Amino acid sequence: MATVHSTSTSAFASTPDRSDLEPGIRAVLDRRALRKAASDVYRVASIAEVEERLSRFLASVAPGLIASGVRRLGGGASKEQFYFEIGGGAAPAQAYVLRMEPIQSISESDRGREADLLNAVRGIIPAPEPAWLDAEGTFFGQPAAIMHFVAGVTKPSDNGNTVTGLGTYLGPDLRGRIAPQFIRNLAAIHALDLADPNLASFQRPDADPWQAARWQVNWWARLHREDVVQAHPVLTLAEEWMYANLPAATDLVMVHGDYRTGNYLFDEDSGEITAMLDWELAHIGDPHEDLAWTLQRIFGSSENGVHLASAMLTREDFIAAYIAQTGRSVDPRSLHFYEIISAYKCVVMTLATGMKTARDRHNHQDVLLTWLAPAGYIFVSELCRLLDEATAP
Amino acid sequence: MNPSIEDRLGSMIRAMEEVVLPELRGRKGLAEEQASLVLGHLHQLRAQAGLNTHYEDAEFRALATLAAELVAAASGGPATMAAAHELRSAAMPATDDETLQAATVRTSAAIAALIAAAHVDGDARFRTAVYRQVLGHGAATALRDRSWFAITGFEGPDTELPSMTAALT
Repeated sequence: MATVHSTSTSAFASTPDRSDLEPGIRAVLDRRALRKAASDVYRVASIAEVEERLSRFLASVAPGLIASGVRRLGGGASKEQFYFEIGGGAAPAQAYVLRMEPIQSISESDRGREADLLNAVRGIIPAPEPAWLDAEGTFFGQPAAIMHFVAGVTKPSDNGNTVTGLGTYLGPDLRGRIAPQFIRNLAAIHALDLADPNLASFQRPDADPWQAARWQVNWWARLHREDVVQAHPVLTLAEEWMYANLPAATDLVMVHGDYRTGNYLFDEDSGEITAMLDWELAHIGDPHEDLAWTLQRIFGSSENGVHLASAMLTREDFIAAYIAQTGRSVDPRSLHFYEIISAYKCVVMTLATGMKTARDRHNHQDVLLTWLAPAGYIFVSELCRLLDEATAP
Repeated sequence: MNPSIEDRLGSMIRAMEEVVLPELRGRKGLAEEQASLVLGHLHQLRAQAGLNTHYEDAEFRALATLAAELVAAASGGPATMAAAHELRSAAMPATDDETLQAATVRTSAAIAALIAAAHVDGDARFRTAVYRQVLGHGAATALRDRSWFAITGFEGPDTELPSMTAALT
């Protein structure tokens, strides 16, 4: 936990600097803009091409190791993923996952930062363990990371065809086993030591109390500007509301950024969480951000008319469990702000970036992105409801 | 006799359901996942077949109504009044050489510009009007759009939406 510099004036909040961004995120977005402008259609890599690139990469970083059994993995909406094994002679074969960035995806990120964070959480939170990194795409054509394979499922096997965790249903027994781990892991992420040298690539929004919220609004408003296919009046209204209502962060923590059911692996028999996934949107910020994201209605399920946040706990129980686990207080005004920006981000991801990416053919999952886009209208409804509960500027 | 769109969609759905997906099932790879999505898109296209023009009409009409309300209420400094003037010109039906979709994109961009301008130098009363009118439009059109795409299955079991045809009228 880190404390932000306090100030008695609200001048920062009333005249927000709309260009103020975390330098690391600015670099990611600048690189993305250049790549988009310079690229034509993204061509999906064949298995033979991946084998060849893996062979060249391993010859460079770990001479003597040979990859075998390369196969394409499903799941996810942003990275091209491949499973493979490395047999070390007499040693048993080790399983790995190669994650390659397409030209554009619904959540642009930095493989280096992701690896830094995964190294920082090792031994603290179950997560994939990074093995090798090709941050500049020297060998794979696009930035890529290789992780040790982790066994587990993202949803019970009887859940049918759902995508990216939406519509997951966890029965009473399973959610009773998973929920305590889910809360404990979130508390552990929020308790990470920000002074850990592994986290040096993450900058702190501590120039003033509003910088944490301002960085988030500027990040996603920039993506909206760059990717808008058809303007939506509610998004512009939400941006103006957010700039006028930035909450002050009282403490800063590592925010996961995509903390919800669908983004962890678990053992279906024991209910043990084997890995928390999708760390790519992580940043230092306000802990309310992760709470608000988890609480989004579309990430939950409904049972007997009761909504369960992230398919596990009622809203009240989830917040109470978090408070009990962390000793932290939850401010309703901050939570409301972050629920608004969460819905806003999801509209930008689905109806702006997702549609632009599919239209430009910059991804291997166009058919998924166009399928996911209409989910954006559920977030628009949520955004309207949340803004309606707020005060007009 | 040409095969109708319904005939062609129906035949593609059968091919995916009875031949392609059974071949891929159980492999848990991207091919099975994407084939399932193709099938979902085909079902969606079949459900919307024949109604697309109605959808585009409804979308433009709702935006044009919001634009007219905002222009009528506009009050404030030069940025607001210039954006209102631009919106009045933009919120016009499609010309002969453009699609209705292009008119919709043009109108929605001009509405967004007026909302932003209202927060620069709009009168307080106009800003309040913008807030209420935009939220009213957003809530109503989101219901329409959710109904239009309800077949995706993203809605929860307790969600009540108007039928697709009711949502377009």
